[in-house]
Parts: sequence; C-alpha cells; structure tokens
Amino acid sequence: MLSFLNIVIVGLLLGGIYGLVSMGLNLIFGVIRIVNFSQGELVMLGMYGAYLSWFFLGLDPYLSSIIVVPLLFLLGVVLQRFILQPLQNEPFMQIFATFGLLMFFQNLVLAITGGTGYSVRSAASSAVITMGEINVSLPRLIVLIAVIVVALGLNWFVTHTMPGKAVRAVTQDRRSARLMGINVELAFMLTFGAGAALAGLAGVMLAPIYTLSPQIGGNFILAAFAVVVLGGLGSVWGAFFGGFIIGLVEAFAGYYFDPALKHAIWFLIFIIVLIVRPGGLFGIAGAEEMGLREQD
Amino acid sequence: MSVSLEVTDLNSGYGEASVLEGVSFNAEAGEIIAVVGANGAGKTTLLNTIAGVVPPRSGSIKLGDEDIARIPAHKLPSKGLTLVPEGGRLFPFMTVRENLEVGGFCKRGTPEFTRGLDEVMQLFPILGKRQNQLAGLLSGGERQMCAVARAVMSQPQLIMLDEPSVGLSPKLVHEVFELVRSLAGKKGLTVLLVEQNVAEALEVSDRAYVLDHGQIVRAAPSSELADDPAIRAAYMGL
Repeated sequence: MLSFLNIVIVGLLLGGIYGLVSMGLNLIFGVIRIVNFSQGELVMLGMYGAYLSWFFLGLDPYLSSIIVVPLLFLLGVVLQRFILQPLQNEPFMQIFATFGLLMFFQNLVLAITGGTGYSVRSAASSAVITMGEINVSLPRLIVLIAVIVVALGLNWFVTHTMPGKAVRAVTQDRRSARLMGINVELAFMLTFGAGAALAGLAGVMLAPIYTLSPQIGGNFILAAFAVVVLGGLGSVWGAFFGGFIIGLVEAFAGYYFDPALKHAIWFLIFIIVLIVRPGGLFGIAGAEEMGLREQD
Repeated sequence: MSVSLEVTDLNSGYGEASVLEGVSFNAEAGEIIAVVGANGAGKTTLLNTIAGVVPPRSGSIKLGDEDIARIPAHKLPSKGLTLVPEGGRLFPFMTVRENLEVGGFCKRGTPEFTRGLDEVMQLFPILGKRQNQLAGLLSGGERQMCAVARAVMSQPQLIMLDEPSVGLSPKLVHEVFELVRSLAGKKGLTVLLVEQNVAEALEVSDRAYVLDHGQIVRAAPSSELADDPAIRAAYMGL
C-alpha cells in the first residue's frame, strides 16, 4: 500500500513537470495552430537563464524567474514577428522554421558551453518534506504548485478578461475575430511570447532538478507531445491533466515493468487515444459539427 | 448616427483571379441598400473588400469623408463599420454573452460597452434568455440574430450583412429582415445588404444594385426593380 501511494506521488510530481512544460506548447498550438518544435529548447534556454542569473547575480533560481520569464517573452515575440509571421500563409514552412530554431538553439548552447553539464543550486534544492513515510523533494513540489497556479491563472485569463476572450475568439474563428476589431497578428505575437514565457518559467522551475545540457529540451518535448495529444491540443486543462496522466503512467510503468519502457508505454497509450478519441481526452468533442472551421 | 458610404471604381480579387471590376456605388447616410446578384457575382468579395479582409487592388472606399480602402480590417469597427459575415460565423465554443462581448471589443472598458450589452439584450430578448449557452448550439435563426447583435455591439454607423437569409426558413428570413429594418430605423444605421434572396432584399431596401460578373449592371430604387419583368425573370424565378 505504501509503495502504491509512493508511486502515485512520484507520478503526480512527474506529471507536474510534464504539465508545466506542455502549457506553453499547448497555448501556442491552440491559438496559432502551429506545433512549436523549439518549445523544449525554450525550456532549455530558461534553465540556462536560471544558471546565468545564479552564477553572475547570485540569484536563487526561483527568484531568477523575474528576469528569465520576461526575457523569454521578448524572445518569443521577436521569433514570432520576424521568423514565423513572414511565413503566415505557409503553415508547413512555419513548422520547419520552428524545427530550425530547435537545431539553432541546441547547437548555439552546445557551442558556447562546449557540452559541459552545469547544475544550479537553490536553497530549496536538497530540502525534503516528510509526510509520514513519504518523502517529497521540495523542488518537485514547487513545480507541482507552479503548474496548478499556471493552469488556474491561464484559465481565469481566457474566461474572465477581455484580452483573454479575444484570444479565444482568434482561436475559434480568425476572420470573425478580425471583423470584431481584434488585431490577429498582435494576438499571435503576444501568444507566442506568452508560450515562450511559460517555457522560461518551466525552465527556471526545473533548473534545480536536472543537470543542464543543450539537448535536455528533447526530453521535455517528447513528453509534451504525448501530454498534449493525450489531453487535447489547445485546451488549458488538456495540458494539465494530460501531464498527470503521463506522469502516473511513467511512475507505474517504471515500478511494475521497466523504467526503460516508459517511452514505449507513453506512446502506446498515445496511439490508442489517437485511435479512440482523436480530439484528445479533454479536446472538444464534435468540434467540426459545431462549426469550428478551417482558419483563413 | 449613420454615415455615408461611397465606393468608386473598386477592383478586387484573390491571387490571379480578379473578381470585382470597376465597381462604383453609394449609400447615403441612413439608407438601406441592397446589392443583389447570382451566386459567384462577387457579392461577398465586395463586402469583404469594404471590410478590409480582402485588400482592394485599386479604387476608393469612402466612409463619410475618410478613405478606408487601405485601412486594415481590425481598425474598421472603431470607425463605425461592421460586417455580419455569411452564416454568422459566431465563436462556437463561447457563450452567447461572450460572443456579444467580443463584438464590443472596440468599445471595451467604456460605458458604451455595458450600455450596449444591456441594449442588445433588450433588442434581442431570446439572446438574453440564452446568454449562457454556447453559441454553437443555437438554432439557425438564433445564430443569425446573435451575429447581428454581435455586430451591433460595436456601435456601428454602417452595418453590412452578407446573405443573412442563407439557411433560414422563409418565415425566419422575413423575421431577420424585419429586424434589420427596425434596427436601422431605431438606431439610424446605414445598411448594406448583399443577397441572393432578391425578393426579400428588394422589399426591405430603399435602393438596389444588381451585381453581375463583378460589375454593377443596374441601379434603381428597389420598388422599381421588384416590378421589372427582366429582374423578376432573371433573379426571382417569376
């Protein structure tokens, strides 16, 4: 029984990590309808940002989010404006472009660091919270709290604020949104910026947990794809619950089968979900019947 | 409040294909103008060009005294121009109320926004009743009403309607047109309507233009066109 509870907790903590790295990816996909392959690299940049803030300014990694998150937002806005927006009418080229960014950022960081692994220490790094027989590492608990706060905040933003409603309008019918006076290009820029900022936040939160390497984004993006397909592309709660499902699957698979099989099991579930519910578990059923149209 | 519209020598199209060729017409402030024509005549392109969704190749579009031909679509609602697209194109996964709120995007944060919302709920009682329902679940008639109401939320001076009768039963078509007429009277709007349902469009409008293959081929008071045997034969199947 204890081991079962332990596995659930390990799974939920992992799920928090996966959910957090998926939030930005899902936001960008939901609004702009492009899959940002470089999302994992933006998380990686966030991690290195936390490292640099720690190394040069002595900032605790969690505190460095006040620098890293706005910088990643700006980077996202610039990438959207100068790389993706000129390719607006060529969705395939946009996907290739994000893949190009993936290669670029990975190799840029590799060239600068020479492949040395860095790690960031936080005051919270080695703190462990003990509840009865169960130990929870504080950095992982912080990630879990962060993903809950981000999901609630994002959900509140899109349902209770005018800019949030405008973003949803853009998601559902770009042309109509334009006719209502919404600047769709600006919405895309800000959304991509927000997606990058979320990646930055994820990077900062994960920096105390992982050893930094230029390729680390790859680990996250694979999980993030599984998460968003499982949860439902474009839905806030999709990334949230999808993250926990993938985390729990990984924890149970690791315990009862073999940790090495985790990817195989993720993607087995991923394929089954795609067959049974192509819209994802939290995607909107019958979207086509309700008039979610081709975007123009 | 209403505003005049004057379109002069407008050319427009998509890619290689030119759709509108030298279209000129006007609407005086407060008039209801119908542009009728067969499928593919260029009616929708005309409205989309005026609304800034399709960039014009040449020609001028004057809203009051201002040439709006080069102004991007998202800046036009705040100038008093709005378009109700064909089929309404509501935001299906947003509630009726949220659709209306987004319709008032250009008035957000102003007292007019709240007043507009109250006003629209009164003008369209059915929408008040359904305000928390998803727009995608509305019936065809309600959907069209909601689309008109959403457009009214921007406090327009000129409202353009693209085929408001499509997909509606004859009774509902009549209701929608009555609504447009009373709305125009009450709010003093200028209305530009494009329609395939020529009989209804001529009944509701003051003047009408016949668009054929991207060119205006007739212009006359609506009652005159409605009695014209050639028009009746060509467009009303009579």
